[in-house]
Amino acid sequence: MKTTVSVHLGGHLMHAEEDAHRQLVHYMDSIKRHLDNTEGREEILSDIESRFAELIVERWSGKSGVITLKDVESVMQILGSPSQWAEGPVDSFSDHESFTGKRPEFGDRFDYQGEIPAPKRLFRDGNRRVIGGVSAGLAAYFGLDLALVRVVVLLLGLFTGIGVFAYLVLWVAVPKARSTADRLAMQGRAVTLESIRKKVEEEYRAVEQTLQNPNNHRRWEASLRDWARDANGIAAPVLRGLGKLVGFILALGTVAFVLALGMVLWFFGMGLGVGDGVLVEGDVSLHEWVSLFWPSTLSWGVGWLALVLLLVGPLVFMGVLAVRLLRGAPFRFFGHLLVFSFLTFVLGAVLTLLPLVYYAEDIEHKAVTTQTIPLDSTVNSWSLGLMPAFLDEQGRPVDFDGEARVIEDEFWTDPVESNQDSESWNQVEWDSEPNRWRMAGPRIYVNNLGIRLVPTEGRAMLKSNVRAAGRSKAQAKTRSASAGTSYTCDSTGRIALAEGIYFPKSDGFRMQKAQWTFYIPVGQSIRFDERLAPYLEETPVVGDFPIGELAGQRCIMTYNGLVRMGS
Amino acid sequence: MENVRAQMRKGVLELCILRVLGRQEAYASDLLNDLRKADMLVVEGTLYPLLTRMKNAGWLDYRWEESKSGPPRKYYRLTDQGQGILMDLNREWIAFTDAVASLSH
Repeated sequence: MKTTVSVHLGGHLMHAEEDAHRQLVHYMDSIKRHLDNTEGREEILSDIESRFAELIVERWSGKSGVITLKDVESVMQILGSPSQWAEGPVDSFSDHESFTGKRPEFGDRFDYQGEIPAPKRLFRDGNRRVIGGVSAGLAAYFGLDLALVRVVVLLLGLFTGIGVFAYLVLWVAVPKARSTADRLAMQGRAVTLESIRKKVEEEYRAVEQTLQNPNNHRRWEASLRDWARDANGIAAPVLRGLGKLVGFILALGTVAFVLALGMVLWFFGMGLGVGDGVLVEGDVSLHEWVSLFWPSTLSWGVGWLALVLLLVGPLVFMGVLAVRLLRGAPFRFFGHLLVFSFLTFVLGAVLTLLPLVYYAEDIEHKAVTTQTIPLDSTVNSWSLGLMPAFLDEQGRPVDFDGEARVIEDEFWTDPVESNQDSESWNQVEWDSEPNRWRMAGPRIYVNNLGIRLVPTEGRAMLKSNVRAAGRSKAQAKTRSASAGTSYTCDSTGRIALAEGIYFPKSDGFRMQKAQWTFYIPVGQSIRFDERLAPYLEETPVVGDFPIGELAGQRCIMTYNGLVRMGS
Repeated sequence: MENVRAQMRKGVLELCILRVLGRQEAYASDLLNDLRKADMLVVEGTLYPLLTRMKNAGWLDYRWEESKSGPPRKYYRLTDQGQGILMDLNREWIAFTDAVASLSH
């Protein structure tokens, strides 16, 4: 086994075989001796070192390797021995000076400061990375403690999401520190001959120690890494503890994620109801609910794929990161897995947009079915309220607070007979036209309602506009015709509008909306229920206040809108 | 014979460096390549003490430039003083070759 020694050569970090290293040191020493009293000796040495490294790299033609004795000897051939340089008159300057007649002013243009300027640059630090080395790079750049930077990045990521976004951008945009010069520039350290030589000597001593214990070959690699870790004072144990903690939390999160995923799939599979008055009422599975909105022209497979990708991406990410943090070191395919999880997520997100695009096509055309209902002309005082679209098992009206309700099965029943069969009272609706209760078919009820109160010079009138959308005008029209809503009106001027619109489940939700317009003759009075307020649209009010304030009060309809009675 | 040639090269090496840098500023390796192509250099090591001395004399200076493939590089260029020296030496060189040529007639 040949032992290798690491050397800093003109800003390059290289490894040399031991005999090559000895020869190299010998060569540099001979140059040093030769230039003993020469002005600018350090600079010349530094230049030659750089050139030496350059020639080695040239010899390798792109590949990296370990400097062999042969490498050193061939480069020495090119550079030549100091005795070869010395031939001929070396101090020929005095001659030139005598004929130009002027002496160069020393120090005048003397811009050699004794160190190479090394502007600080932002790199990603692969040696200290957890994910992409962005935090470590930032820490080095700003001279901050790495643990602190990581905590800040983590907090930003957890609470604002900016951290995640910024991290990804920096990961892509910032180059990884590859060469020793990069690493020094990352830390803003000047690459001086002195610092390099010190480094070489330090390492040489470390290597000598290691050599006495040949089994400890890894130790100098570790000491190199420690050096890279620099003197900024990293609270390594704290960081490790923090990493383990985050790793543990991530592991828990991963498990919770898998469980949640299982539950979602169970919901889909078992057809469990997803809502109880919150979003949807009735026995509707998540699958059914999604199918209401699912574009007619898009395969369900796309949806499943998008769902799987969207979930698997973060899952893999969390899992990989958890293992990485708990293990304390990157493992095989670590980077690949991270990239994989990221791409998976992005692909899932893109696929998720597809249903939206297709749905947009599904609702491109709109249509309205209008029904006009003339009201009793002897009445001049109205009251407007809402009525529920359902009755419960006991036949009591159900306030349906959710956004939608699904009802299966359909049968008709007479109001008198229906009292006998309590089972059949389950989800019934009042149909005003044949004036009887009926069990709704497989319908969807949606709280998509708009009510307008409009002054008119003619007679009182109620108009219902049932709107719907479709891929074509005709489809939209059919849909709006198959959707319905209901109302009641008695001889005392009490009107109740059904709080919702229903449509066959097979139609899917395509913007179905019931829009009521109540034409009230100017001068007549109206009182509307508070529950109406959220549905009121484009209803003019005299005075500078929201229409909700008029709820429950008797108002007069004027040409300019509603006015509170007595004001 | 070889020794005489080496001595001659040595004598005009400064002029050659000034001429190369008179065209444009150059990185040490480029400078070396030009000189080697012109067969003015046997071993590269000769150049570095010379460059440093010329720089200390105020004929040259250099600036650092970032390199994609390694540490920053020194780019050398002529100072105003160096330009003056180059012109003087050029004149000197022509006079010199003329003088040598005149001896063979």
